[in-house]
Amino acid sequence: MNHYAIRTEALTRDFATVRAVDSLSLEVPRGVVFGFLGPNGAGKTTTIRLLLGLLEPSSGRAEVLGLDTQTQASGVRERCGALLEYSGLYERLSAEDNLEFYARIGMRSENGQPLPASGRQARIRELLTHLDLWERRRELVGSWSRGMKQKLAVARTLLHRPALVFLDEPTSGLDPIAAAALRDDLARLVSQYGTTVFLTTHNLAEAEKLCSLIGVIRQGKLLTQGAPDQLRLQAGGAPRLEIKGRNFSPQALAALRSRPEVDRLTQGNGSLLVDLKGEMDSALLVSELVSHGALIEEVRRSKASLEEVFLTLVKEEEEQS
Amino acid sequence: MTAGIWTDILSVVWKEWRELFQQRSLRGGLSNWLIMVALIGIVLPLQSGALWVSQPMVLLVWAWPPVLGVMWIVADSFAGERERHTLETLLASRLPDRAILFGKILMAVMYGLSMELAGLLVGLVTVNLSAGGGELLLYPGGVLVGVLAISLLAILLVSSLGVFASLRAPTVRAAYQKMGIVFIILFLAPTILLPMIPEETMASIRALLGGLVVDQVMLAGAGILLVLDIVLLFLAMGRFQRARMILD
Repeated sequence: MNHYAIRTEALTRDFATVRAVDSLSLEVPRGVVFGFLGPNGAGKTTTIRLLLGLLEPSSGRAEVLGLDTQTQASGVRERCGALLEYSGLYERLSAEDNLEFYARIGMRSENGQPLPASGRQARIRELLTHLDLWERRRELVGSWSRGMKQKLAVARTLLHRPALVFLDEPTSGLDPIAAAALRDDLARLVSQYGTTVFLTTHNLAEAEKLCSLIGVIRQGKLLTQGAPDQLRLQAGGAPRLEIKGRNFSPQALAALRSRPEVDRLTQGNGSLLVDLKGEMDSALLVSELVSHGALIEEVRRSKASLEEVFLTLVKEEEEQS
Repeated sequence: MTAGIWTDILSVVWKEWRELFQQRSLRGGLSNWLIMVALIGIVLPLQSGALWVSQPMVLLVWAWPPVLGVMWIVADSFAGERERHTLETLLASRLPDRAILFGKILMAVMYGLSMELAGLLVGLVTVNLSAGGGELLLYPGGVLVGVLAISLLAILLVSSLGVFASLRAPTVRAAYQKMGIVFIILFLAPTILLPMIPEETMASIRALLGGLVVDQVMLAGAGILLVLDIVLLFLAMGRFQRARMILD
């Protein structure tokens, strides 16, 4: 089985004079939550449409779950779930009917036949119960709040147990409480079903919470791709330890400086700021200090936020271009 | 077509049917259906009396209400999904193009034909109660089959035309306007073109039509409708392109 859920090679899409996606080469391994970050108009939605085979690329190619998005588009759509820019729910139908329709067209038994009604109902009940919507399943969706509709749309997306799910700014337009609740639901569902997730967002806190791998796109170009910590390092946002205490002797400081993981050491009033070259176990540094007679009161680890990383990357790209 | 695609087509029909009949407004599917059935089954038979069953041309002429009844449904088929932001999600599903297209057309045809059937049935009861005079009045078998066949083909024509117009229309109103323009052209064309035909040709056409019996008129009408239906279905299939539909 192909190790990658998504692979693109110089994927490009032009609209008249505008290049929406520019030579995008991306690799997303199976089983990860991939955050595709970028400002509005960066090309995130167009990328999803290309990956689902809804649009044809102007040049380059893409593979999703080992299938070519141009020649095997229906196979791609069969194996993927998608929550796009809009929830796509039928407001004149009940929540249950919305799921029933997508269950009828999407759910298949092991021999490829449509799933019988009992199987569909069991799955609908499972998801709606999971999302606390079961009691309200007979209500028309048009009467629901935006947060509830998004939850239902997530349920619809996961209904046929897709191997890969595309979520296009799923919390956009939700109030902070509804957004946080939806993020929790997403994290729970994704970890439970082990689905690969391709999540586009311009909400960096959301990406920080959900994603194990991140790609940053701007004006159709992929600026960088990697794990959040890797991106922090790349953008100069190395992890930092703040150690509060007393008796930081010159020997203790020298011992710390000699460690390969330590990049820089700054002594303040009753505290030490230790800039690290990468991730490391802070207990080792504390133990080193204590062995040289230091008394430690508090250790705090701080990281550059993804927002800082993102802004640094965008600034660098602007300077280069 | 394989069994799989029929299952998909019927799933689309199921969704459309639920959506249509769960509307509780005056413009909802059920209200529209009941009004048309009342028109065909009560108003028109009461006006026509016993002629409703004895004169085949009366039935044939009054076969048009269901054709109009499906117009707003087909105008809504794709343009409505686009307007309500459900189209892209539908297109991102595994449903094949033909299942979506034919599902929507089949739904409109079923809706219109059920109107016609119910209307004819209610009409028979109305005529018997109002003009039966103790005698059981029935539709002549051949005429009934002919009227139903022509209704079916006419409804299919309007459904295909409507879906064709709706595929790329940004809103339901725009799709409805496009269909309206086609109908105006269809109605105006004879008015403009007939006076241009030389008198000798017109005389021979009149002689030809005068010699026709109702069965031949129905057969000729059905043949023309069938050809138009097939052409429009192929055109609609060609026009169904996911990328264009998303970007329109």
